[in-house]
Amino acid sequence: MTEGRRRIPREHFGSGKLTINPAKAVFINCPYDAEFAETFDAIFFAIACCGFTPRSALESGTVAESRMRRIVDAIFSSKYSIHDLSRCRGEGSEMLARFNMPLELGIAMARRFMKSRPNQRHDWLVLVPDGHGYLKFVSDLAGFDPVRYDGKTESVVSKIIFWLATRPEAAEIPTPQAVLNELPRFQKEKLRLQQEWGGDVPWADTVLAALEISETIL
Amino acid sequence: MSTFLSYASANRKVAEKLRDELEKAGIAVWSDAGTVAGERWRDRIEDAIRSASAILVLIGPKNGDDPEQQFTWQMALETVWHDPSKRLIPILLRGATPPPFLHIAAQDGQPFFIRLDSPRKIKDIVPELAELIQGKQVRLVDQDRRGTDGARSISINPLTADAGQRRKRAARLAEIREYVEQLRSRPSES
Repeated sequence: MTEGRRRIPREHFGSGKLTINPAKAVFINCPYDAEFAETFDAIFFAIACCGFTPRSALESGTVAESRMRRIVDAIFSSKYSIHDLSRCRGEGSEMLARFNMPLELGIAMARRFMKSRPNQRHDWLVLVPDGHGYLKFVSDLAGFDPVRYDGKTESVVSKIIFWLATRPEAAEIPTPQAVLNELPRFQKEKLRLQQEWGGDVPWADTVLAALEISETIL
Repeated sequence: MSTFLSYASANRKVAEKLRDELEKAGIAVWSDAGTVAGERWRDRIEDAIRSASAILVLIGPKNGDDPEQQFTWQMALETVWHDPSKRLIPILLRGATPPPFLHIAAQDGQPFFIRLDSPRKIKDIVPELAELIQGKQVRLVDQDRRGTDGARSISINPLTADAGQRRKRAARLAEIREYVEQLRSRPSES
């Protein structure tokens, strides 16, 4: 038997001691690439500033579980979800569209409408780009109000704050301007964490960084 | 000048009385009375809120979990945020607590709310409401006004931060900080 550090399984971010109150959890469904990084940071930080906990497929979880399993678990343990469908369009030479986002929105809808969970409401914010095209994008969403935004950070932050501020679990809510003022500080801290971890930062560290900065706003 | 009136169905009677009294005072009020909820309902509400010059929000003790009302609040907040010349005027009925979104509803000054302890006092608050709707300055010091029966009928209250929520938030932050420290002390992952 070899001596050495005992390998302790890492707790999943949303379980054990770090169980997230589902009523305060917001699942983020959006692209995770460099092109979208600034918007992702804005969504993440706005959620934290409103006193909610951001969750996503990127949570440092039990890696033995499939990505889909982790996504389903995270959505089913979050009362809220934000879906940015602005990249559901043809891309690259083959004009392929990303279907991850509509798929995850479908999972959120299943959570909302499942008859076996009538007392567990789920509420979502669907973000689509300005223009009329996207109103027809998923026409079955009519009545669930896809929210149009111009793709700018200022716009997405205010849409999220106005949405979360009017949910029953909202607590102290900062103004959109206050969040935008501190967003660069969060991005800088995230960059520092990336350098410290040599790449992927554990989700909990990013949540903590956002919460700590948000404390200075309120 | 048009005024939008937001209310939950549980407060419909109070809302109707308030609308009648405001209209008697010469203020045009738009409410969703007679509008059927559905796909077009939201479009109509959104249009009405965006075109209103003032938004009255009637808040009862059991409000907040009604999706239609959440949508109305969201639109109202967005509208006054983008056009600070529009005023959001919250009226809290007996037993209601101010919802947090009110803290960011007044860009141009201190958030406030009006307390309406009894529907019988609606007539008494109409003069002040009319002034607020017309964009006059809010007096934040408890503004008691004597009705004909001598009872206190209106107060415009400054809205203050909720210390309890702040404590809960601090406790959560401490939990996550401890967790992060645990993560850092365990560099290996199975």
